Amino acid sequence: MNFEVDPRSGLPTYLQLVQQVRHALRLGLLQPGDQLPTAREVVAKLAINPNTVHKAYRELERDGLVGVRPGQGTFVERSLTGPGYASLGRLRQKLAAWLAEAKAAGLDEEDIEALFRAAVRQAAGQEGVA
Amino acid sequence: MSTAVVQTRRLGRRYGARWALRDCSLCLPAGGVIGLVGPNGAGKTTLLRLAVGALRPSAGVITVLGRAVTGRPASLAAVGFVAQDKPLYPGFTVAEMLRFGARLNPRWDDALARDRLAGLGIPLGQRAGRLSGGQRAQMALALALGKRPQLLLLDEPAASLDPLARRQFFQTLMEAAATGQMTVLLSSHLLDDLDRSCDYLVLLSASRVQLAGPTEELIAAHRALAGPADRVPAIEVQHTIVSAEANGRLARLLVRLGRRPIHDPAWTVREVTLEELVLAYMSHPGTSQPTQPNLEAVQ
Amino acid sequence: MIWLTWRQHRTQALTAAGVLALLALFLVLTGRQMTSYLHSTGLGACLARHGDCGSLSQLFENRYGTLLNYIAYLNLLPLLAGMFWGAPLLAREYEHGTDILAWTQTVSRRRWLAVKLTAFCAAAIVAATCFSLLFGWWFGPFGQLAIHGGQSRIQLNVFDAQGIVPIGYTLFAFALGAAAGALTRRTVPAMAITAGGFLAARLGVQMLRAHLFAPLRAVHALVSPAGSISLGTPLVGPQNWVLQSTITSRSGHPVTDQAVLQTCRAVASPRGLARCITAHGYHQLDIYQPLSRYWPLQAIEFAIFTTLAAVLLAATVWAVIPHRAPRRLATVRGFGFSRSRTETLPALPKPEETPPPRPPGRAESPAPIAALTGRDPRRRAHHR
Repeated sequence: MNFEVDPRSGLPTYLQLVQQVRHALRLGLLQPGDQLPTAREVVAKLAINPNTVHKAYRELERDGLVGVRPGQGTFVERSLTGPGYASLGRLRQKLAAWLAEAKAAGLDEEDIEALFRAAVRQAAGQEGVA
Repeated sequence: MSTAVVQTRRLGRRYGARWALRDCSLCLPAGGVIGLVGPNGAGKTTLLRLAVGALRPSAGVITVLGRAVTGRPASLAAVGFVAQDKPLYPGFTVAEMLRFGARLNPRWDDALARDRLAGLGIPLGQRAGRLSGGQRAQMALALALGKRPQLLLLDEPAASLDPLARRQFFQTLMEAAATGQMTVLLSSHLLDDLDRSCDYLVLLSASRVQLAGPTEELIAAHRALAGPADRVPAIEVQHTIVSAEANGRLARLLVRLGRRPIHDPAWTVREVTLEELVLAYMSHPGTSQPTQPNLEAVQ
Repeated sequence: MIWLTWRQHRTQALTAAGVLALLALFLVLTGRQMTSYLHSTGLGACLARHGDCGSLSQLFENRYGTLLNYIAYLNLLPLLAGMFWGAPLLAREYEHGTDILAWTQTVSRRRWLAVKLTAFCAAAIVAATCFSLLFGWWFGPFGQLAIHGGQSRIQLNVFDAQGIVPIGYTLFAFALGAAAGALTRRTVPAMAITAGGFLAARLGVQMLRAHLFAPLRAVHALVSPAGSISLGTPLVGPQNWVLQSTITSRSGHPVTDQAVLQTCRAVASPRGLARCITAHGYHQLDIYQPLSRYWPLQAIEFAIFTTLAAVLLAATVWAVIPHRAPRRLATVRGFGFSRSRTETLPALPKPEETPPPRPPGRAESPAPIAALTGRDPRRRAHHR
């Protein structure tokens, strides 16, 4: 598992790590039983704060994706299945409705994109601070 | 919250008529990496030297690891220090520098220091005066880490290093911090390094503390606003404005949040980056955070 | 700490040893030459039986007397200890930044300084003692010839190179260098101050030496019982330290020998000259310090310089050990109190969980707001 950090992404570092683990799980690059790199290994490569790594692993542990085995390390517990197609379809419909509303209000594509991006960031940020 | 590693109460240091550090009250938590940021001459070096006992306070009190700072072996043993110019004895070889460490520190881990240097490819027979800038920094760090300190102080460690050496230095430093037994307190005016590596920030400006707190909390407590200039007074009533600029009708503010969130939809609100936060405070030296509540009670 | 002191200063130690070795070589070689000359010419035997060795000693003086011209340079040896041991000791540490390196290991600054100063003082004492003994041995023959017009050990420059005063000079020079280095924190100015201060002190005390005890006065007739006249040479024994030697008239005023000859120029024969001199009451006045005062003078000068050294070492310690930046005199409570106050205050309470940021007080930044609103926000508080 190779982590990387993008300082310009606007996302807190620990969330980037969480995302990368989830992404790897989704793609099957990480399987249950695999060991995640130790905090020491991660910071030795990325030169980030060790607490950031601990926080990311705690978040993943809270989501039930990984588990800490004392004395051994952090291991993947379960994999992430993709979202069900049913929920995908429903979300798509809602999105289409919202888009129609936005267009009716007079927003053009750029406005919509800006609004959407700000909302995503805010949601992610609020999640992090909580 | 873990125990405090450094506590100061109205700490000050004077040189003649000039106060290098003034009215500094801090409570720094153990176990993480604390960043000390501020412009040159703001008092960062003074604070670090007060913490290690190289200076005595002119006013106020400082305790480190629960003990008064005395300059005696008992309080020196637990604190490591890497000065800004990474001093070494130029005529000594690397091996002799390690011997220096071993002789002057009863709690010295020679194997650890040697492994570290070997891993970095620094030859033991090389004269300390002939090491490259990056190697000197690593040598100075290895010396400080070899005594297994509980608190490691670094004064502008990345200042004179090229980008590669700087990256390698921080990799080594963070790895050492990851062992968990040590708190790191480093000063810098390079915000990128602090952003990556620090989880607690102290901003010193004009010899006073402007900001102190966990970086996450500091960022969460501030917002960057963009909106109509005529709505600024309304914001001002509820929140503290740290910096503001106006361009015609558009105003950009950096505020410290009050009790209520910002509801006014006229304002675009986003989170601040650490760089924006630090720059905003540094350019307005009059603003500062309210005094930390746990110290007020003691007064 | 001892290892560190040796390793850091071994170049200085070895250089000093080398210099002393070279000097020793020179002194031993010439000394042995002189001793063997004493024996081979029979001068030694003559002196042993207290005979009249005037002519033999003159031979010796002619051959080896010039060596004494260089003794004055030996006065500079202690200065080397000051400039190359004392001045760089602290100044170089400050210049290289290694002061903070040494003082953030697990050795207190007091101990660090104590070991270094002690080591150097011990080395200074050893070096000075060796030198003094060596020079004393070398000077022996000259001293034996003192009664016959050679140099005596109480005289200038010879006094300064043997006995116990070299130890005092070396300690003083080192302490002066160390204090200068500690106060100026730069090597070259410290060396300059050391050189200037050392020379000033040595010259000053040397001038003082003549008057530490009231000098003795000896009055001699210019005409000996045998009828010979000596004008202008001291008549008290040459083994003493003659400070002043003048011909004086009956009333006590000093006169030159030209003046005497002028007064008695009318007389043609030596006997007439002698009668003229006696008639006018001219006599020789020698002001001198006797040889017997050699050790008392040594002791006093040693005490002066070691006391100065002690004061300078104390100044060095004061300059290096950190103390609170001085406040205005009115509020100073004394050195001991300030320090102990920091150490005996009760421990600060442990922090609790930091509560979320409270509503801030009004920040002191009217400028950005004024720029936007066009009015000082503080004025609003007083708005009708």
